[in-house]
This record gives sequence, C-alpha cells and structure tokens, in this order.
Amino acid sequence: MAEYLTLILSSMIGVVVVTAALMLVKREDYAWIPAILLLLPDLYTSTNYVIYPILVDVVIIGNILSLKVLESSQYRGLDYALMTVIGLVTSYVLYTPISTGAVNLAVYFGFLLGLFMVVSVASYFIIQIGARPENLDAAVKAIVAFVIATVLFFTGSVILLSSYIIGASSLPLFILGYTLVLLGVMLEIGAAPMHIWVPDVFTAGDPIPVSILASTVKIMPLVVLVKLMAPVLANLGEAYVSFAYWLTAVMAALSMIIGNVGALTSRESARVLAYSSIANMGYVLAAAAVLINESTLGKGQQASQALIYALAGLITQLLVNAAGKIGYFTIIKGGGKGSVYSYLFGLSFIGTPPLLGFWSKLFIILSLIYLGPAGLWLAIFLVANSVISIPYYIRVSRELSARAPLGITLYTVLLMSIIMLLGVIIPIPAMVVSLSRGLLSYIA
Amino acid sequence: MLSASIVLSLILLSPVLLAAPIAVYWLTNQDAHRAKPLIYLAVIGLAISALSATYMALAYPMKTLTFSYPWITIPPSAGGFNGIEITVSFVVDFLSRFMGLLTAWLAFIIGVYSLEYMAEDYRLGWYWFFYNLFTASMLLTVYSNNLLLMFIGWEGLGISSWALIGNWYKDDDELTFVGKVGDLMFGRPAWTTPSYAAYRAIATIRFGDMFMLGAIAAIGVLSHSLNFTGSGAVNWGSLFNMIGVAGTAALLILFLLGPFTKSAQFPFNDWLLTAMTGPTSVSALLHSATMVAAGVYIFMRLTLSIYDAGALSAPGVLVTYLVVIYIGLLTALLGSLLALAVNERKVILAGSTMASLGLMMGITAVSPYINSTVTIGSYIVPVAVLVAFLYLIIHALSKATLFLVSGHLIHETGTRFNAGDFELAKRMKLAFYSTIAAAITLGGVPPLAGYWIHAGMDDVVSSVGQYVGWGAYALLILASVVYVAFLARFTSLNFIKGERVKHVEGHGGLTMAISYSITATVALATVAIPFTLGVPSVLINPGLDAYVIGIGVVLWVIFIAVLIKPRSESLGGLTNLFERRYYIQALMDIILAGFGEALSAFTYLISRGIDALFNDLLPSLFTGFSRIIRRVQVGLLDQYARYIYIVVVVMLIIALILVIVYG
Repeated sequence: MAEYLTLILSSMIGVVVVTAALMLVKREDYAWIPAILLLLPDLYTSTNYVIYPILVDVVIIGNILSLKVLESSQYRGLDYALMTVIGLVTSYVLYTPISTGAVNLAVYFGFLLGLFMVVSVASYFIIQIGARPENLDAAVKAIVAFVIATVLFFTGSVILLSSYIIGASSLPLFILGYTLVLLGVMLEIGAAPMHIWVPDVFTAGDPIPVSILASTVKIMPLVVLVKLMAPVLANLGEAYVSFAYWLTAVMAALSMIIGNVGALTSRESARVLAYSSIANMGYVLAAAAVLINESTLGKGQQASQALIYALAGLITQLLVNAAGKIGYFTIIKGGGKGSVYSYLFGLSFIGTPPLLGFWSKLFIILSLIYLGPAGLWLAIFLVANSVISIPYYIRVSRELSARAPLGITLYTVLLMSIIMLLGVIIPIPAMVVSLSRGLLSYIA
Repeated sequence: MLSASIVLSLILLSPVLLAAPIAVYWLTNQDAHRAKPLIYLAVIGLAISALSATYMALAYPMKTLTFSYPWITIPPSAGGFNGIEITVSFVVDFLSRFMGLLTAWLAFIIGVYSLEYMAEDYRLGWYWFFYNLFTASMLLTVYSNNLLLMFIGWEGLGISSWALIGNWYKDDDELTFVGKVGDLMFGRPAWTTPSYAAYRAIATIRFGDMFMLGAIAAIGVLSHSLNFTGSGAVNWGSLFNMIGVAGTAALLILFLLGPFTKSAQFPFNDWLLTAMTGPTSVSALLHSATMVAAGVYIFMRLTLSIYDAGALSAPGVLVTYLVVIYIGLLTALLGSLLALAVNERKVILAGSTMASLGLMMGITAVSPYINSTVTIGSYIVPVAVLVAFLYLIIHALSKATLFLVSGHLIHETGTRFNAGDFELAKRMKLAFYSTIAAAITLGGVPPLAGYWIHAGMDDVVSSVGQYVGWGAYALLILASVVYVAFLARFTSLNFIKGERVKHVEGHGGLTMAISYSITATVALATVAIPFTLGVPSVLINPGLDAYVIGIGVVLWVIFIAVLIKPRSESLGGLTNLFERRYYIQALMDIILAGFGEALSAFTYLISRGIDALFNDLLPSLFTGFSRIIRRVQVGLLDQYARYIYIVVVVMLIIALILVIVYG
C-alpha cells in the first residue's frame, strides 16, 4: 500500500509543480490538461477494485471541464490543481488500510482526519471561485458551515477514539462521540437537519463552484465516516452498533423527507436542486447505516449481500448525485439550455430503469431488505420518497430544457449523461456489485 | 367401467360448462326465441349430469368408495406443527349414491319444466347459469369427502340461491312478492320483494357459514384432517377427547350453525319463507333436493363420519344432539302450524318444507341415543340416519311436485293466493292428480311410503323417549297431525273448495304438466322402498304395530275432514301470529336491516375518513411541514449559526437521555 501512497503523493506534488510552472509562464489556461493527466495515476490499483477510482476520476474530470465554463476565476490554473488534489485524496481515502490496536488506530484516525481536512479546506477556496459581491454571502455561509462541521467531526472522532481505548464500558462516551461525528458529517454533506446552509448557498452561489460542493466534496466525508466506524465498532458490542445504526437511519429518513418536501414546494431550479441534494444525502446515509452494522451482521450469505449492496449503493448513489448535479448546474450556468439531457438527469434521479439512478436506489433498497426488519421500514420509506420526488424532477427538467447546450457546456453535460446511461449496459451495474465485494475489504 | 374421475367430472362440470353459452349470449342479446338452442344446451348439461349420476349409482359396487387427488399439502415444520394434507376427495357411499341420483334427476326434470315456465323471462342468461351452478354446487356438496371441498359447493349454493331468489330483481311484479302488500308490522312492510328476499337469504346463510368455516378450520388444525371417511379421516374420538365436553359441544354447535341456517331451523327459518319471491321452478329445486337439503344432508354425513370413528356416544355429542332433536322437532311443529294458517300457495309449501327439515334434523339427531344400525348392501347405516334420509327422498319428490303444480297454478290463475274449485281440478286433471299423489305420499297416511317412514320415526323417537324426554315424541306426533291437515287444506283450497277462479289462462302447460306428473308418479312409487330395502325391522315392523296403524287411520280421518272443510274460524287471533310468521320476520328485518344500515353507516364513515385523510389531513400536514422547512431559511448567517447550535444541543440532549436510559 505504501507504493500506492507514494504514487498519489508524487502525483499530487506533480500537479502543484506543473501548475506553478504554467502560471509562471502565464499559460495557466492550459493547466486543466496536466490536472486531468495527473489524476489518472490513482487508477494504479488492483483491477478488482479499480471501479471506485474510475468513478471518482470521471466526476473530477466533469468538475474540471465545468470549471472551464467559468469565464473569470481568480485562481485560474490553481482551481484545476485543487480538483486534482481532491480527486487523488478522495481515491486514496477508501484504500487507507485499516489498523487496529490503540496506537495504530490513533495513527489511522489521524490520517483519515487529515484527508478529511484536505478536502474541507480545499472547499473553502472552491466556493469562492469566480465569486462576485453578490455570491460572497453564500461563500461565507458555506465556509462557516464547513468550519463548524470540521470542529464537530474532529471533536467527535477524538471522543470515539477514547471510547475505543476504554473499551466495552464506554457507551455514554460512544454515544456522545458518534452523535458529534454524525452531526459533523451531516453538516459537511448537507443532510437534514444540518442542511441549513444548503438552500441559500446553492441558490446564491455561482453554479459552477456549487456543482463541485454538490458532487465531489460529498464523497470524502461519507467514506471517512464508514471507515472510522468499522474498527471502533468491531471492538465494541451490539448496543453500540444498534445505537449508531438507528441514529444514522433516523437521520437518513429525516433527510429524505425534508429534502423531498422542500424540493416539491420550491420554485427556483437551483433551490429545488439544493433540496434534492439533501434528499440524496438521505439515501446515501441509509446505505452508510447498513455498512455500520458490519461488525454484528455475522458471516452469512444474507449479511454479505447486505454489505455488498450497501457499498455498491453508497458509491453509485454518490456518483449519480454528482453527475446529475454537475450536469444540472452546468446547464443553469449556461442559461438553462439543457435540451433532452436535462430530462435524462431528471429521469435518472427519479430512479427510472435502466438509468444509473435506478440501480443506485435499487442497491440501497436491496441492502436494507437484506438487513432484515430493522432496514425494511427504511426501504419502504425510501420508495415512498422516490415517488414524492417525481413531480419536482419533471418540473426542473422541463424548466432547464429550453435549447441545446453548446461548446464546453455541451461536453460536460454529455460526459455526465454518459455516466447516467451506463446503467443501460446491464453488465456495468452488475460489475459495480461484484467489485464492491472486493472493495469491502477496505472497510471491514 | 368408466374411471371415477371421468364420471365425477361429467356430473360436476357438465351443468356449468353447458350453461355458460346462454349466460354469455344473453349479455349481448336478450332474445328468448333465438336463445332457445342454448337453453336446450343448458338442460342437456343437466341431463348428462343426471345420466352420469345414474351410471355412478348402478355401475359402482355397493360399498363405500373414496376417490382422492392431492390438493393442498403443508409439510410438517420444525416448530412442532404436524402439517396438513388436504385432498380433493370424493365419496360414493349410501348417502351420496342416492342423494346424487335424486339431486341430478330432480334438477333435470325441474329444468325441463323451466323450459316452459321461464320461456318469456327477461333474465334467461342469469337464470340458467345460476340454476345449473346451483345444481353443480349441490352435487359437489353431496359427493365431496372433504370438509373444505364441501364448503366450496356449500358456498356455491349460497351465491346461486341469492342470484335465483332475486332473479326478478326489478321488484316490479306483485305476483312475485311474499306477504300482504300494504300490511305493516312494527312500522315496517310485512311484504317482501325479490331483491330484499335475496338479501335476507344470503345474510342469514352467511351468518351461519362464518361460524361453520371457523369450526372447519378448528377441525383441520386440531385433527390434521378434513376428510369424512376413508384412510386419514378425521379422528373424532381423539379430537373430542382433546377438547373436552364443552369444547366438543361448542365445536359442533358452531359447525351446525351452517346446516341450521341453510336448512332453515328455527329461528333461522324466515329467509326460507320469503325466498318464495324467486321463480317457482327455483323454489321447487331449492326446497326439494338442493340448498335446504344440503344442511340436513351434511348433518347426516357428519353423523355418519362420527359414527364411523366410533365417537358418537361422546358426552359432548350427546349434549349437542339433544339440543338438535328439540330444535328440529320444534321447527317441525312451528312450520306445520304456519302452513296451516297462511293463505299463499308457495308460503304454505315453504312452511311445509320448514316442518319437514325439522323432522329430518330431529330424527337424525336421535342417532347417538338409539345406537343401532342396519346393513344395506355392504353399507352400515345408523337407523335414525336411514329413516331421516328416506324421508328426505320422499319429501324431495313430493315437494318438487307440489311446487311445480303451484307454479302452474299461479300461471293459470294469475294469483299467488289459494284459489280454485272443483272446476279447476277438472280442467287441470294432471295437476290435481299430482297434488293428491304428493300429499298422500308425504302426509304419512297408510299404505304409502310416508306412512312407513313415519312409523319408522315413531319407533325411533319412542324407543329413546326415556333418554331424551317424551316431549320429543309429543312434538313429533303433533307435527305429523298438523302436517297432514295443511296438506289437505292446500289440496282443498286449490282444487275442491277454494274460490272460483274467474279467468283461467288455459293454453299450453303440457311440458309443465308432464314434468310434475313424472315426479308425482315417482313419489307414489316410493311405496316400494320400505319393501325392497331388506331391513323390515326399521320400517315394516313398526308400521304393522296396531298403535301405529291407529295413528295412520286418524291421519286419514283428518285428511278427509280437512279436504271437506278446509276453513276454520276458531283459530281467530292465532291466524295473525302464523300469518306474520311468529314475528320472526319483523325481528329479522330489524336485525338484518339494522345490520345493513350499521354496515353502510360504517363504510360511509370509513370513506369519509379516507376522504378527510387525502383531501384535508395529508395536504395540510404537507403544507405545514413545507412551511416549516422554508421558514428556517431566513438567509441570515447568525440565525443559521444559532440553528446549527440548537440542532446540536437537541441531538446531544437526545444522546444524553439515551445514555441515562441505556448507560
């Protein structure tokens, strides 16, 4: 694994150096090329697990392309490099090998928190890209939210670590720690009820940086959450797992319903998308909740099915959310010219088979069903919420379908549409499921 | 010899399959003339069924045969559950062999009668489909060896009787009503229309069926079998041991609520009387070999099954059957008195059916007390069951005849009330002959079949008088006396001493006349039964007893006397009681109509609730919720920081409570 870390680090340093060199010779407009190229070394991993970095890279490339739509950026050149760094870190976070034992676990925690910090800090800069005075308010709100989120997350993690060290009799400490960690993650990704900043920032901010916040930045916190909990819970008892599961599941349900009701009763497209992203985080949290049960599920066929589908659903739903949001916000930036692509994103978000959005929800629902009665209610709730979401996605699709997109907007939207259409080729969703069996070893 | 599965299929399926074309045709084209070939097809279905039943009765050996095919199998599970295996099982034994024959042939003859009687009807598709379904359901009930399979036929009888009683659903012909139009009872109409009579019938029957189904389920769960006879039949002995005396009585009473309601035992009798709103051909079938006979028949089959299992003398059985003896004989007396007083042709006959059903129930129920059997062929039959079953046969033939005649009379005279003098008898000689034949066969006067069977009943009941009380015997004698009186009254008021009929239709009617002449002649011919059965101890010996001969002579005297003087003023105020059918009708109307009203009020409330939920509650919840969601978005950073702070604090308080609870 050290080899992999070296590769990621050198790639990261490379992109910074190349970008600096390009800026020096005033050719920063070309910095997107090395930014994309130097993203690719993260694909150097076992072919069994390569699906995850591929998906991350596609999203990052979408972000980089959409950044080119922006006419003015105060960090022109650096913004591409920033995306590459986030991409590499996001790829690596899943592959961080799990450590056990108190000292090792402290190191592991520190490492994950560091990666979390990298993405968090990078997002402070991203939200300010191309900010005009009227966007500034949104940027400030987002940054404040991220800072509070990071503080909550760190505090909670430290408490969790001490709970782990104390051992089996630390339920109060664990409850406190997990509550704070979950609240931090929820604030970072904008899941209800910690969603307060999301509607304002998505509406008032510039669509391109918002699309990055709505897509790439949401992957890291969730993966870190799942990875942190696995070794801690493996060492603690049933009661701990059950508390963590129920808290996460209830929050997931809350996020779904608040997001969907909010979206259904909002008019502005960006605001509808803000609430839609809150609802999507609810779906993802449901998948994360299943993964939290890993240590108590046992080794049976049903248990492993639940975990495999949960991980596949988590990754695919994050990807669907990212692709859809990048697509939609790029269309908004281009003046609402989305043509049929806008309907494609809408249908995928609704969960229309066989688009990728259908498979991601299906995986999550299956994982909840395999979990048994504790997950069944949430599966039913999820289906009901998907139904509620139909009208507003159709509405947004119609509003954003005025004319055909052009130029770099078209390329970005096209790339994102291809991602949604991947579900049509049935072997691809099947492959995601079979590969997530291998990826599971990095979580458990 | 044809295989049993083919013969049974022909018996059970051909009536329904061949009635389907007319049912479908009538949906699009209500032309009675053109539909004629299809109607003949439906009757041919009945003929095939009758011939197959005959083949079954003649070609198969005289012993208990069962034919089983697997149906539902629930394997045993680890949790101590023994599993259930339900088979499609048919039985051909003493009861079903002759009952099937009787049912199929009567259905065919009455079907032929209907060709003329129902020729001009406005609902022929409906009529023929349900008529044939009715027949097939009864045959399924008769031949099935399995409680669940039997119940399917049983429910088929229920739905078909509903459909046929309400055949004239338009309620537009006073001739089809029951009761005096305009008469009020407790502020409710004392007359009944076809549609309401159909509802009364199905509501009463379903009431009993609910409990019966529950009892069948209990039997299945407790004994892991639902078969009457054969290997793997219900082991009644161990079942009764398991549930104790009270449990046995409760189980049997619940089960018998089905036969009680279907066979119109007091106080569930009133639907039978208002069922006269249906076409007379339906009444003839319903009152002779199907529907009402099904209840008694199943009771006989149950008794036989319990007897086979050697559990007939279990204390719980004795208690239950004692109750049934008295309910049955009381029903017999009340039905006879009613028939003596009312003035509507078909209601008189309905009352007589009620009385006969009571006799059959009561006599069957004597079985566990008398505890003696006879052997016929290789069949071993309890004496009481044999007597009741023979009575069922002569009753079916006679009653079918009387109904068919009275249908013809209604056609000819244009009234449903008693009317007709000797002039009419001369004009309708076959009808007169048939009525006399049926009346003397059923009335119990020597030397016809009814006499010997009544003698058998007399013997059976008197021999257990010391165990069941002499009240039963008294009820039997009283009922028999009244029975012969109303038969004479019916004959006299319609053919001898009734009002002169001014206008007589006088054309056609040959098919109808032939039909009832056949049944009447067969009824007369049943006199051969006591002498060919080969068990003189049951019918012949009691019938030769001097005391019983005395009773027979008295019955003749009563019969002749009432024929000469059919009207009596001395009943006075009592007539009102009988005409209003012991006010059971009013009571049933209040209960049934009240139940219907309560049900509709309840469903209305539910639908209002659903409306309120979807029109008011959910939308207002939704808007309220979305208003809250939008209200927190004030756009001010300091408010947002406060909001985040509040959420974190609330969550920590929840966590704290959890710590206190679980920590």
